Amino acid sequence: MKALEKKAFRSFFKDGIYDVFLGLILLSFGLPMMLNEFGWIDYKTMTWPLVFGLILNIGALLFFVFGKKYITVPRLGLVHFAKSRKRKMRHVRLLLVISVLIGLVTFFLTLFKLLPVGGETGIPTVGLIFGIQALIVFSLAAYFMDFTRLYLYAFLFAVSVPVTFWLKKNDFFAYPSLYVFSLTAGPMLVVGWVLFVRFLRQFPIRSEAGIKDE
Amino acid sequence: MSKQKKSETSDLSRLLGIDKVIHEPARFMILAYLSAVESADFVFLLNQTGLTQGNLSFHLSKLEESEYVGIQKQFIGKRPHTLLSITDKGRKALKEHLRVMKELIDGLFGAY
Repeated sequence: MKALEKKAFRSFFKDGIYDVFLGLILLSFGLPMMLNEFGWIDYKTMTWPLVFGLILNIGALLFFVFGKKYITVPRLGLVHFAKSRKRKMRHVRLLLVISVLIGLVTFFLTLFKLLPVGGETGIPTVGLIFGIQALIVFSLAAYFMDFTRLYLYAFLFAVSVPVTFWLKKNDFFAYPSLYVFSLTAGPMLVVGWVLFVRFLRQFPIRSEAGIKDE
Repeated sequence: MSKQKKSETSDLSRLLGIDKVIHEPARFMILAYLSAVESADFVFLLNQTGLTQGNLSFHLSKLEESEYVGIQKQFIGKRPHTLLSITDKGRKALKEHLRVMKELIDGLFGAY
């Protein structure tokens, strides 16, 4: 029965919505860096990076919430999972809340220049915290959700920001964030989109005939 | 007739007493899925079991008649929505069926 429950729960990852959502979230960290490298926005004023990040984050969240509600559920059906699964999902939500809080604290500490801005490696403390936190939070979420792809995404999230700063410091490429985020957020978006299109073809909306009253 | 043969025959006769409502593969599959979750709707079962609408509807009616499945009909907007859950009686019957089948299989083929 456990295997059956797991199979039923994992069927909701077939839609690719999680993949696109996470890809967009990761891109929201990379896009301001890319625009800064292209010389289109100035990092000295935090307004534009924040605006771009916020727009992408809100877009990702809207895609996730409305996608699940109006695309996935009408096709796959509605299910209320057992208590054990609900407990696991509570763990995931708690993890995400803690993660956001750590992210906010780190962001404000950086804003007020209370965290060291990179040493020999050129990786700022905020980048290191981001990487370690992403690895821990997403790996634990992958475990609780039985979502295997999320382990890979945890790694991609973890390396993206630190590697970008390291490449920038060592001056290997002209546009390091473009390369790094294409290789980290890119696969998530591609996998997500392919799964999403396949899902739409495989699962048409089925209106129920209902059950005969006898 | 050897002692072993006798016990096999008596074991096989237990097959006549098994719950035929659950023993039907489609109904067994439906109950198995419903026992793994708290509740699910008609479309979810349709996708998971691979049964046709008519077939699923028929077997759910049978399971409802036996009080193994609870069916709650509602409307979401203008669309009908059927929420299904396994009853305590259904869960007990499924457990009992699994126990009997396991004993029978172990008794008959355990030596192999």
